[in-house]
Amino acid sequence: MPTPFRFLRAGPPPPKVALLSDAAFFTRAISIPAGLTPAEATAQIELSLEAVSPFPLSQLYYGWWWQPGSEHALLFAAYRRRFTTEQIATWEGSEVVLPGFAAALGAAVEPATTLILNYPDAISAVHWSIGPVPAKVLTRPLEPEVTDEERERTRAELIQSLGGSQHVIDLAGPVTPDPARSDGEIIFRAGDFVSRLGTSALTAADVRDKAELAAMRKSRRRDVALWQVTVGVAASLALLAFGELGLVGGRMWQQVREKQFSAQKPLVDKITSIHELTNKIDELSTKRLMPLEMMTQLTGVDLERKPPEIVFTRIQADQSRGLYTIFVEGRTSNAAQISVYEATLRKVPAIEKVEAPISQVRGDQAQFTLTAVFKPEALLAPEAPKHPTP
Amino acid sequence: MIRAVRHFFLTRALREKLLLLAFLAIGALWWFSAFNQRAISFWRAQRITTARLAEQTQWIKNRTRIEQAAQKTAERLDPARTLNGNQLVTTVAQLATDAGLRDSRSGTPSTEKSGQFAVHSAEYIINNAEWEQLKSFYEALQKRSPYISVERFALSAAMNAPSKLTLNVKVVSVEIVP
Repeated sequence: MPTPFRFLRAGPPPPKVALLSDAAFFTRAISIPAGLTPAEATAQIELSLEAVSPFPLSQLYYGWWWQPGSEHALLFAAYRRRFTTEQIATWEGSEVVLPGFAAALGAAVEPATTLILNYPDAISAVHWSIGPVPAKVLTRPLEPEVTDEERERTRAELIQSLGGSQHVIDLAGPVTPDPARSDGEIIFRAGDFVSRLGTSALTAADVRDKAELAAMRKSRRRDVALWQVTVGVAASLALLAFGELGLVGGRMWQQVREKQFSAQKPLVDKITSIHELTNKIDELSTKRLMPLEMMTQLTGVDLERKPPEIVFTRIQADQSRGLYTIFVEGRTSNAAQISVYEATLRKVPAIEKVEAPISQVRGDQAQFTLTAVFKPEALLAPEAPKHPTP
Repeated sequence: MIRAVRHFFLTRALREKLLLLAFLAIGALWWFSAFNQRAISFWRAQRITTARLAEQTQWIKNRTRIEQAAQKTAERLDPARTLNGNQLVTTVAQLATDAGLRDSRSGTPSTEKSGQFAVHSAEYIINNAEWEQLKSFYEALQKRSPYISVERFALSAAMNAPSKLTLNVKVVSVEIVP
């Protein structure tokens, strides 16, 4: 059953090629000096064509066949008016427009070979003497009702007029392009006969207007670039699809791990709880909160450190805020004594850090909050201190 | 197949090529944006799970050591002297009474329990206390360490009567559950 995507199974179609009547073209073999670059050879060929043609180049459809290193090139040209507007319209969308014989020029043939191309209304003979570029191309038109004997006689006459043919290849049918497998060449085939025409050779052999060809090549390059971008985007979509599959797999893996986490949680909670309680009990045994001992350090055993104007109103010690930290709120009628007292406490070896900022002053009364941090070893003195009245 | 698709693409009109490319690009961007969010979310979740599992593994690996440490800690305590929640409250109340503190009240004890240990804590408020009484109470409490410990200690004096003190103390007891 045909589907909209049947072309995918069918593969790429053959490239569209317009093969023109050989009889419309005149051909010449021109010599090319050795060592010319392709650009120089092109200039040389176009100069030669201008010299041999009765028409200016702008009135010709022309192309040529030359291989680097060859001592000659084969020119072929046709007067533009030999082609009707309808005929030219059929070239639209063609990858290449060639005279029929030019499709066979890429064949690998022995020296002194003549290739016979049979058309319903003509016979063409392409003769290679030495090298890959033919030395001569001849075409003889035939009447539509020509007999086999007349066709055979014309063929023999063509071979004789070319002279020196050691090998003759007869193509029974027309050469047709193979499905496009690469951008680098077009392969023409007729039975066992194969002709490979590379991109540069096709560019030279294409008979269309050269400026038009340049514009087509430019748009072709743009289209290929668009294709490459499209392929890149499509590839990213494919990568995303793989990524989605990876995510699905990842989530399954994650679920397994979460189940493992949940299964282990009660055991781990129990171990954690034992650890925390053990630590807490160890701390209760070894690290006691000693608020009155800390306060004794602040006042001195006989209150010798605390100025008499300073009165403590609140003392607080909290294990969660520091085992060796005491917070004291106090007031005094002599605010200057706060700084004096703070300076005195800074000199006490047992105290690591002390701060006593004034929090409020009302009339002659100043309130302050004293925070003192003690050195742990200072509070672990063996003898029990005498606690003074705050 | 790719050659056939390529030929199909290249033989379309320019506007069709551009439209096709634009649709594909928009789709890819849209998908990538959604995928990116889900991927980041998954990546974060798996990293968190990895970290949690690694932490669990460490705890399980150290289980024997932790249980041995708990056993050693338990061995240092005399089970007969450990106190449950009710005993904590009554013992502290008794110590306060012994120190001459009458105006006192306790809160409801709370308990943390795991394995063979239980830790009970209770708030205790003593009002209108004299300094010497409080000092005596404090020293009595400290003598019961580590079976009873002070976790929070807040002592304040009344503004109008500085010799009358209020003590807010949080005490903790350890119990070894048989």
